[in-house]
Amino acid sequence: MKKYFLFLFIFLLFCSKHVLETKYQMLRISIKNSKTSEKKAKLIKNFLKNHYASDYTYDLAMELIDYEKTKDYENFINWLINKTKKEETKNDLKYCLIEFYKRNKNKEKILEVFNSFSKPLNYYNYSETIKALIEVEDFENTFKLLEEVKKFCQKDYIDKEYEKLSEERRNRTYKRRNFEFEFLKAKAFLGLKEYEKSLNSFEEVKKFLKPSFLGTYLDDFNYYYAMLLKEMGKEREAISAILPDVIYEKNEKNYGLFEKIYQEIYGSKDGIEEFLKTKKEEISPLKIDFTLKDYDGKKFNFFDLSKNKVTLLVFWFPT
Amino acid sequence: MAVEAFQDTKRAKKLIKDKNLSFVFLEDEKIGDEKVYQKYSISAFPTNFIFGKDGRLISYHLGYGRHTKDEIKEEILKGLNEQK
Repeated sequence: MKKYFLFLFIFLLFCSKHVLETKYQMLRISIKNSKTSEKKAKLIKNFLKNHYASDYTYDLAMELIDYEKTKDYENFINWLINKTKKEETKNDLKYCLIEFYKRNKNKEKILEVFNSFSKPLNYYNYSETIKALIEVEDFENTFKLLEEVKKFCQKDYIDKEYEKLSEERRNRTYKRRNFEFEFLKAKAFLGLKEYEKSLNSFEEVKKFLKPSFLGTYLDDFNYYYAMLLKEMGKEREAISAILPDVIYEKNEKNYGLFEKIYQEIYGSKDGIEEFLKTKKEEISPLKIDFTLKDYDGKKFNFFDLSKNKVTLLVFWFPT
Repeated sequence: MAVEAFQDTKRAKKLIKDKNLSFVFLEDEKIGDEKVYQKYSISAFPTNFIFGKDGRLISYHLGYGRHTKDEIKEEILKGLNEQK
């Protein structure tokens, strides 16, 4: 008999998850169809009120910032934080508050949230706070927290924290954290206009991660690196630094900086599209060779197969 | 040419057969200390690369959206016309 109840329980659990997903999809459609921010905010709030600790909580709470710009946001998120018992959700919601205060340039409130994280603090409590502090230009506290977060980036600390994970994954965490740590330092020095120190940190960053196949780094590394070079009067280097991001990650932020640097060098926007086209041909990456087997064990060499041909290379896995 | 990243052989084979696909299907494996998808710094699946006859990247697509198919078609045709 017990067994049946267990099955029933699991079945209901399965259904409730499914129902939530459907509800979420319906919410997405409703948001798309609403014209005003107020209506969108109301829809999201209603969903969160009914499901305050689901897989969608963090994303929706972040999205809500776009629609709810007043103190109501603060009150609502704090209400959610009190409502949920899950420590993880509380943390996620606090990151949303930090993002909200970051956009409103409220230094004191960011630190207030930071101090409310449950102890012991973890790496992400620090890194998310520091990112926000840099944006609001509170460099004093930025460097104070950077000093404290150092220990989380050490190899033996990570080995202990992630004991159960494979060596490979621990190594990746090590590289990722140190990349981020030095990158935060570089950005903070840039904000303080200490350009030489910033440059040193950027050099350190590069030691931890290679650029991707496309020439882009994690996060917005290329963007800030180009900004530093521009401030140091090295416009031509700056433009090379931002190019891969402008070509392959077409967003306004990257393009805006690119446009500014271009105007500084050439005096106007004339010929900017032509310039991009030529540069694309120059910097577009070359294919990398490999030999792999097909499912019958037959070997294929990529270069032999694609020589003088237009080639579509797909990386996939069955879902 | 399609490289399957996670060596999920059984399901991959079934899919290829069911859909009657005529790509060259390869199974990824470590070459040195990295798999091929890592060498290409793939962060999302599927990722499509289109290379020109000279071996340079023409464009790439992260994930698969509504327009991906048409865009790929267009870019391949462009690649064929440009580099004769």
